[in-house]
Amino acid sequence: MVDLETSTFWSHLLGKAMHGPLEGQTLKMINSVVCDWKSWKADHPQTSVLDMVPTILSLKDDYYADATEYIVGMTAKEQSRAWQLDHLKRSTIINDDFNGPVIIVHDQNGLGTRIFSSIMDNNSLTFVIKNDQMRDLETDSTWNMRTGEAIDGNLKGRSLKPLESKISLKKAWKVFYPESSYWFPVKE
Amino acid sequence: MRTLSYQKLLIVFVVLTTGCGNSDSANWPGENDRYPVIDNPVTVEVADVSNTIHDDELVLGVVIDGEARAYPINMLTGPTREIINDELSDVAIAATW
Repeated sequence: MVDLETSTFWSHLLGKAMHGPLEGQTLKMINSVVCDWKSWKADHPQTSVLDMVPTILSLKDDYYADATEYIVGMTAKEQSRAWQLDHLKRSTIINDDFNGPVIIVHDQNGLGTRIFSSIMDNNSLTFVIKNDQMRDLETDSTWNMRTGEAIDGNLKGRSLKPLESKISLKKAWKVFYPESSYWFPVKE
Repeated sequence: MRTLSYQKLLIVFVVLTTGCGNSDSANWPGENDRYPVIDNPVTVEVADVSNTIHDDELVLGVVIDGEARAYPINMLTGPTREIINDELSDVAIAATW
């Protein structure tokens, strides 16, 4: 990846200039998600869509079928942490702590995995799946797991803060973030 | 470390033969190795794609200041498509896959 203005070479995954006049600079990452079209347009009915001739017709929601090969990762304050997609497929929600309390939410129906801060009004919320819905234990509010908005209960209308994350091949993440920590389920 | 936004750069994809860790200029691809720039892409509304994008297709979705855009992964696959220079809600971005 290179920019035309300075011919600096950039790392896709790091967003960092690796060689050239801007070496060492970092691009600002913008929060995004990879998910299925159905759930994206349901959440964003006014969305616009790129219009180009497809180069391949087979990339569908089974792309991540081999979940052991992929991770969802985030970085903060020069540190990095990753959550394996196979763990998320089994758990749907992982409550963790990385630069503060966070939840990693995997939409089993729509595929997208998102990370939110689980802090609300200076309190940490703990999230579970209850009756196929995302709930917090502290107020039993019901949440939209894709938007992070409370849709019922005492916190209705409130929204969790989304955090930037990346989905990557695990082997690539290990190369670019060799010091990354990894979440593992507690053995019972 | 100063942080730049994507808006200052037009980005193209090049074939990296040695990886990003080597700063030896002799190993970095030259201008002849670059794929064409994709910028100012055409975008359409949801109603215009009802028959061309299937519900189970993967998209890269982004929202800036309430404005949402989806980039179907089927349109981003391949070395000539891996970077889309775009603008959303007056913010210049590079959607990469």
